[in-house]
Amino acid sequence: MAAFTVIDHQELGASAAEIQFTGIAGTYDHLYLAASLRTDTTGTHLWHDTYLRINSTTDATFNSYTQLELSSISPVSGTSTSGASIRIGRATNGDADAGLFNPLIFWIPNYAGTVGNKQILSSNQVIGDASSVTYWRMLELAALHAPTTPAAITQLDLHSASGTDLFVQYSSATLYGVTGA
Amino acid sequence: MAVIEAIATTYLEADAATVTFGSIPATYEHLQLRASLRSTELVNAMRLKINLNGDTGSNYCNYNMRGSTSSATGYAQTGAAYIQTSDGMHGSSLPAGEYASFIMDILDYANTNKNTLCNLRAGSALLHTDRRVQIGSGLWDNTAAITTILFTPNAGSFSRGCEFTLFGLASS
Repeated sequence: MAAFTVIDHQELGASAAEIQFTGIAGTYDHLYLAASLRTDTTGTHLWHDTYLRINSTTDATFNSYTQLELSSISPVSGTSTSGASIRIGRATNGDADAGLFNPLIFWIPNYAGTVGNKQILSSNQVIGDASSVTYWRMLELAALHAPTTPAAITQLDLHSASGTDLFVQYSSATLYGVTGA
Repeated sequence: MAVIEAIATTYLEADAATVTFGSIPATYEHLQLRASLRSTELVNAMRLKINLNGDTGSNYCNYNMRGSTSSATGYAQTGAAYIQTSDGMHGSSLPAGEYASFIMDILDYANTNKNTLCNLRAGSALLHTDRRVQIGSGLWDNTAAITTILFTPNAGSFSRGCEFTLFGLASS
């Protein structure tokens, strides 16, 4: 069996509020996602938060994260102990330079286990302006999804900060299943 | 087609000033490069420089977060002539046989609607008192599909024993 299997790849043909992966089979050991995202939101900071919802959960008590961030040129760290979705990274917004989509990569080890909580390790960089560093950001994030009853992950939804913000055309995401020997 | 394929590997049997991957096919969704790096220059650590598609103009941006022994710093640069790591490779003042590790991801590298943004990770001098770890990002402000990647050490040449492997990740 191949070590990496493409579970699904989506590239948006038109703007959409979410990129969803549903019906994820429990036949792999780990999940790996690689995404290239941009939103239609406007704002001078040139980026917008990207969120990850797991198994359609909206219970804020299930999610927490710790992050290491490079904000302009200053390293800072922070935590969040609640959120209906996990703020997994950021994406350039509609005021960023044309053509700038930003990478988001994350791993979810042992995603199919029904014992214990789920860990997510994410890496994301945002450069929205090629001529000014003011709003550049880099985010390394470790998150925990801890539902009351541990369950296999069968659905991942990437979405923006509110229901009205959209990922733009050409935003894409590839979900891989990773299997050991 | 396998989901991850090795497009090419370069193992240096002798010191070399540069390493190039050319004629990269557009048939994958993402690229990943993994390398083991050391320079002939008599220093502890140094930058690795990367040019895409032969462009040596001031069309690159660099953004790095570096841990150096016990302190963290950030670095941002516009209008650069290349993508660069922040001390992502070893110099020859380190013990023989010590090579730094380097990983670069380029997502959606063949999509001509998107500029190229590389995700960079490197660790160097890990057995030395002058340690470095860095996470970085390099932007090439151009929407062309990536067909060529050129690697150059900031000083000296790549040492014999350096190894570069370029992987393609499929999406179907």
